[in-house]
Amino acid sequence: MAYLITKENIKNLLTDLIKLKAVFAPKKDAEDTVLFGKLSSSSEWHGDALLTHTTAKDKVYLQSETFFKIKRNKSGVTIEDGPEPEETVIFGCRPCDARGFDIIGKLFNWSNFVDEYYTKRIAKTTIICISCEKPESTCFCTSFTKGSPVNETGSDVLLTNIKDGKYLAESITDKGRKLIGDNSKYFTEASKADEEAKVTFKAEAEKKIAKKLDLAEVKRKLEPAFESVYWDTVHLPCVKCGACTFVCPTCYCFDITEKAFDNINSVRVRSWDTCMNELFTRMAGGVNPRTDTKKRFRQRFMHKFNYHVDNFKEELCTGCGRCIKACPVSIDIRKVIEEIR
Amino acid sequence: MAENIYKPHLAKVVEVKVETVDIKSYKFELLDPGVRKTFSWKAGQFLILDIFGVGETIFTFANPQTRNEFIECSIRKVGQVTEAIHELEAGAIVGIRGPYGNWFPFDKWQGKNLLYIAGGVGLAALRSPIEFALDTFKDFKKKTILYGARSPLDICYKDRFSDWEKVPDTEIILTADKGAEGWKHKVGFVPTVLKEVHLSPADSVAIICGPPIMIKFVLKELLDLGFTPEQIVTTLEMRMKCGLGKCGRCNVKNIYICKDGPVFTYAQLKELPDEY
Amino acid sequence: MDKELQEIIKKLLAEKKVDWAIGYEKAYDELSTRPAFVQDANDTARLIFNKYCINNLGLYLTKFKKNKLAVVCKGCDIATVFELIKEKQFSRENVVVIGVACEGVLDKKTGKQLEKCENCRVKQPKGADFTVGTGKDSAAPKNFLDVVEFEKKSSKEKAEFWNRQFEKCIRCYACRNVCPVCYCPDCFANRTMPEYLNKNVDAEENKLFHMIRMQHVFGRCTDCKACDTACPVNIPLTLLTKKLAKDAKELFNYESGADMDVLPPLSTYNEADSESDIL
Repeated sequence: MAYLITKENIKNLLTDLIKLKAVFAPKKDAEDTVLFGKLSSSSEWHGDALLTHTTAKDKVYLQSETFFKIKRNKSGVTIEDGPEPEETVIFGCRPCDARGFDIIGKLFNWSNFVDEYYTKRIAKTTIICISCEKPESTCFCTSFTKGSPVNETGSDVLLTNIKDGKYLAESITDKGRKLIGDNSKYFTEASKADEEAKVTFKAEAEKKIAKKLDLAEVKRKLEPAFESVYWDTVHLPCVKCGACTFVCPTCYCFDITEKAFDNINSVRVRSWDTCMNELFTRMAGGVNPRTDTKKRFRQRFMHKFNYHVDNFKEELCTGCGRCIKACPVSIDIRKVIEEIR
Repeated sequence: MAENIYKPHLAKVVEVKVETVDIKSYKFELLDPGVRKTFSWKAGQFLILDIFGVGETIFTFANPQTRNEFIECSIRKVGQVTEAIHELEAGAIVGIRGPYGNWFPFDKWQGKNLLYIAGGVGLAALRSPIEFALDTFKDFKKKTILYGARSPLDICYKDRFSDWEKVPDTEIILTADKGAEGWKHKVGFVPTVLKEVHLSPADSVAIICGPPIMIKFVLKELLDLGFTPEQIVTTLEMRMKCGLGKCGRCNVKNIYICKDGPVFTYAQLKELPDEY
Repeated sequence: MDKELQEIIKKLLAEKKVDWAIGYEKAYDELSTRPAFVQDANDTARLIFNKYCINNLGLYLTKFKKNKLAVVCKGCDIATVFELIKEKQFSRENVVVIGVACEGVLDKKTGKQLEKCENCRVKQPKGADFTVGTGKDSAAPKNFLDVVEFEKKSSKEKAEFWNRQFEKCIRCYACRNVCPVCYCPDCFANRTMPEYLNKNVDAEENKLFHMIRMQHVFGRCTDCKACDTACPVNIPLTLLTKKLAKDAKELFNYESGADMDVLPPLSTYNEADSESDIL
């Protein structure tokens, strides 16, 4: 079912939501950094930037998540669960971000082991996504089967700016239907013409994305390329930082560590980790199967476009292009996988 | 909601035994009687041991399911967590989660000769499949254990050997890279000794665990002896954190060692790129 | 200018004077460039130099110690090369410095010229083996007005400002990894025995990381802005590196990379040294 909502009513909706839930939306700070921040007022929403500097991933899959608190004393050890997640709204993310949740959600439910931290948090999160009108030079979402500037995967509500200040609002999931139902005063029913306007919007937005990769071909080339000399030189500029993986909507690798406050209290924490870091695979005692940059660099691309496809039938990438922009030496993921030999 | 996959069961250290200069063996007892009853594993699987205040590390079960009164691990001091473990005394409370990973396919090995080849602390990983086969000895033909360490002082599980040898059709061959006074066994590297004892590949399975360099040369010897890649089984060791196939670090190709391993045949390993 | 640059490198590679040449090439759009590694004399056509060549290629010297390298350097990047030679990270004979005249570079994220370019005294590179182009140095010396202004803030204001910055930090370590003088093979941030820095990412731990890193690079940092421009969330690290430069100048009359004969202040002892940090 599709509705219409005006930009003004979007702000009213945000004002109402802020009273009930934690609402995260793009916010711009004094250094011109646009990040998903908790809104205290609807006017803080910065809707002008296409992409935030980092993704909304960290609002569901926290960069550092306290699993539980540990207390050691004479009578033994007690493990205390952290607080339950609160009702949350992620507002104004893009289809590539929303699809990221769909992709990592599958991993966290993989192989009979359900990650309750992710699952509980995503269950309490409503994602209101906004379709993209104009891509950046780094965008390549249309290379993916499900990728599009108007893709709905992972969103609960998808907003598309079909005419000046008027958004087509589509409820994708039950959570989305509930959100619209609970706030029905801000929505009007969309006409057939409005829905058709989205078709035009889609065609035009997709046309603007210049780069389209043949990912099936990339997969075919990657499969035998493990030993390829290609990796010997392509990795050379890489400085092995984790910027690419930490701004990625799909990179999910993590570490589990302990933070001790004293001899009694500590917390078990899960933190994002990155395959670019040498410590990622170094064993106690020093043996490391991925010692040099080349091996770690290769792992990132192999994982995203080969191994993950084997295990999940989809790439571990949504084409948001953030890694390209965040890379201090401007390594272009599209170029790297396209030129594989 | 199902149980939290990251939350350990509490367990008590029941016994600490010094094996060598840097290896200690531990017996743990799960505190919750209900958990104790349902907690079961198979030889080859591993657990995650939680030292509260320090962190978690992965160890294989040192004892098989046929000797499951306690959970046992033999642990070499190599890093931050294992150093903390070596400080533990009886009565200390730790956490245990698991079991994880696959196991040795003993059901497929019924009626076969079993050849165990271990180097150094690698015997800790083979103790559970060895003792499982000894406890169910009627199901198998000859059990041969070839075990080597750097020096006689580094030999682990010394006091278990006499019990092992009492089991019918069981032979233990010990070797040390360098001998010492009073050492009555062989001197030399495991692959060399393997060549000398000349075992037949007929109806046999070789189970190897040890340092990578030993595995490399043992593999060569076994193939020369006529073992097929399918007849050779080993366990892979990688850095692991979650044990659940999620944290992303223990992969070789699209295989996660924690989930799809750690037990592999050499035939399977040959299909994987050299990144382990 | 690009042609001249390409020819010099072509010759160096063809005559086997160097194993690798490191320069710049166009990246993903007209406004971006990336480091280019060239090994083949016939592969120099992609090398360029323009106002988007922001990376300090001196970074790679410590990563390719075993090779003879030709490195394209802006005047400011040469300071890094000299600093690293002084620190005995590699020998002068192993690097051919190709200086390029520069009119200032632009931050790819903001499109604005870097602050360091305003009063640049090395637009015309100094100390290079080859120089391409001519540049007109700024008449005014580097000033520290922005740092002076920041220093006037109250402790509370400073704390609020930096807490807000370090809350943004995602500890990707891009700042550390692009820093030419952050070459420790075993960074304190990675150590576990003992553990200096917990993996838990929060403002407190993040602050600890940045403060320790800044102390480690004091008197060695050439204020090249590599860390500042690398930060994916725009933490103004330039304020910190410039403060380091200001302190080095004021306390020890030292400028990193400026003079090959003067040793870094924390590597030497002089009875007249400032003791202002000793309480």
